[in-house]
Amino acid sequence: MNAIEVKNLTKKYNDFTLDNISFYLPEGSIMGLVGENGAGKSTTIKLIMNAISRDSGEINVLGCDNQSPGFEKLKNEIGVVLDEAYFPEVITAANVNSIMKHTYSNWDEKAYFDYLNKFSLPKDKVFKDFSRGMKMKLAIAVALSHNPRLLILDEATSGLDPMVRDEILEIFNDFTRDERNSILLSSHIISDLEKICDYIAFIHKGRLMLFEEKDRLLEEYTVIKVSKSDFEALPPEAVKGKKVTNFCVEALVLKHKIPPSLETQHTTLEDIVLFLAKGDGR
Amino acid sequence: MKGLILKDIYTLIKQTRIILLLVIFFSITPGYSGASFAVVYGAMLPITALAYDERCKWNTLAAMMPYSARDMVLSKYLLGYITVGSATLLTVTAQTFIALFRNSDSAANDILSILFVALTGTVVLAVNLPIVFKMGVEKGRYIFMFLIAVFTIAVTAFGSRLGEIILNINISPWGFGICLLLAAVVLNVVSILISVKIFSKKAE
Amino acid sequence: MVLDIIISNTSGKPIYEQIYSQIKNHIISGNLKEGDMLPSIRTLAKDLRISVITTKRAYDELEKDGYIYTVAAKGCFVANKNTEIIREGMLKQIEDYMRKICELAPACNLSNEELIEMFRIIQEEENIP
Repeated sequence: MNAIEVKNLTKKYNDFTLDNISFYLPEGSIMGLVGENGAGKSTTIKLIMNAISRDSGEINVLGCDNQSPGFEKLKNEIGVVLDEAYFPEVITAANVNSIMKHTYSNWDEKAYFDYLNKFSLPKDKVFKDFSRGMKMKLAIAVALSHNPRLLILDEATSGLDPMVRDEILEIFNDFTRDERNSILLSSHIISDLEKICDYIAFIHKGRLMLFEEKDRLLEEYTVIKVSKSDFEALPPEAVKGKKVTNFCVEALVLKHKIPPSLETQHTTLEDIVLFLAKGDGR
Repeated sequence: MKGLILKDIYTLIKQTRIILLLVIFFSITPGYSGASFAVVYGAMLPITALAYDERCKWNTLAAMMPYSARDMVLSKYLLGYITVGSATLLTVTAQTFIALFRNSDSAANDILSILFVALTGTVVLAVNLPIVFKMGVEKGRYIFMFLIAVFTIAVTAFGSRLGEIILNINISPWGFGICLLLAAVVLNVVSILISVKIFSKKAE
Repeated sequence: MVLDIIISNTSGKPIYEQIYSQIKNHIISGNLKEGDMLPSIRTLAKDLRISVITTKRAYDELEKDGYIYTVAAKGCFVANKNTEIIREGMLKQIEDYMRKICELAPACNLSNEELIEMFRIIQEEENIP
């Protein structure tokens, strides 16, 4: 089963359009939603949760159409962390427990306080005195403490120091040890996504540029540095992006379509995404 | 829904201590006019709660939780009924004590007047909340002030004559109370329906 | 039993191939014996912090080539494959390559010492202990 299925999703605003997006997240896996700020990641996430309604297309979450009446109840099984929506300033972590106890039917108080301990979050400090890292960790603790089957996180790791980020990625990794659990994770920090994702979807200016299994991407694409004449000799369909300097051409190419004699560079997900975003093709 | 109200109560208790103290102060001020201030302040609290929601983008977060637009809206009305109700209860208790202490017999009348004010409080709530849901707290608050002003002027200007009219149309204060109660209930139900519509539409 | 699997992200070799060849080597070297249970796909993927899909691909390849078999709801086990024969075959291959070296070396005037030095350098480059 797919934890999330998005088909031909479109949402128009005056100054922005999310244009005909399709992807799916198989149960048990982690998908990274990559894209620059304003690319449409948060809009996609809000549409998936039906917090805003779509213009056209289909969205199924945990096997349920997200505009069907049953979806309201299904939200009990989805943990969401948003980038810039928080608890009221004067609320403490202990208050959050009481509020969530009456919000989620399957709230697990013990798990919540265990997470607070694990993240060394104070119970009685008010929210406005939390650092960004602490706010994010509190939101993640809440998201994990009602036995969710699906986690949706919008920029949950940005603005955090590397130690905390790694800690949080480890938690996501552990969460998906259970094959019924899935994660959709958006970030503009591609290296974080490269570490833990099974699938990558790349949104650029409201359009889906890429949706692929991560390791396949790294197997299929490579960066090469060649002379201009060598570059001209390449089959056009092999080239997915290029950067021309005075001395050489740096290009993103499909590995199996170039002569094996060409020396390939070590290629990261970030390279692939940057080439695709800048190049917009050849 | 209980979670939503709980969140507002935590926020209000911690963030609006002064208003809460004012409510208590006016409740125990002898006489009907001071007490009605307490109830009016009570009716303002849901709007204050909405202001704190706006500041931390709570609605965006709550949209991810198992809450419907109906829950979100209804919780603010319930909060209003709770605050108006508590202020009234406090006032009535305080005024009863004061009356006992002073051996005054105007107390019964005063208490009746306070109940009228409480019903008026819910009416103000019913008028104000849809406006705030539609236009946001800042504009909504000005309109609220305006309504209060109009109301106060009306009461001052026609208050005594209103009493005469009531006497003339030969309706008992109890009868008047029941009419006001019915009007308040109808207004609130209509208001809730409108607010839910507005709230759902905003999410698009 | 210690099952060393070391994934390199910079080697340029696909990750599923790295898992495939390392588990295969464990089986042929006798470190993993017939009937031994392999870590579940999910455990291995999460412990190595790699993709579940990739790990599954490696296991599928191993199964296809007869090194392991799957028991539904139980897990993956090392198959009854005559590892001795596989090892023999590999030794034969090594001998063949060495014969080639013996043929080519004199043409390049390479001494035995130089050949061994070359072998060491290649080992270092490939990070083989």
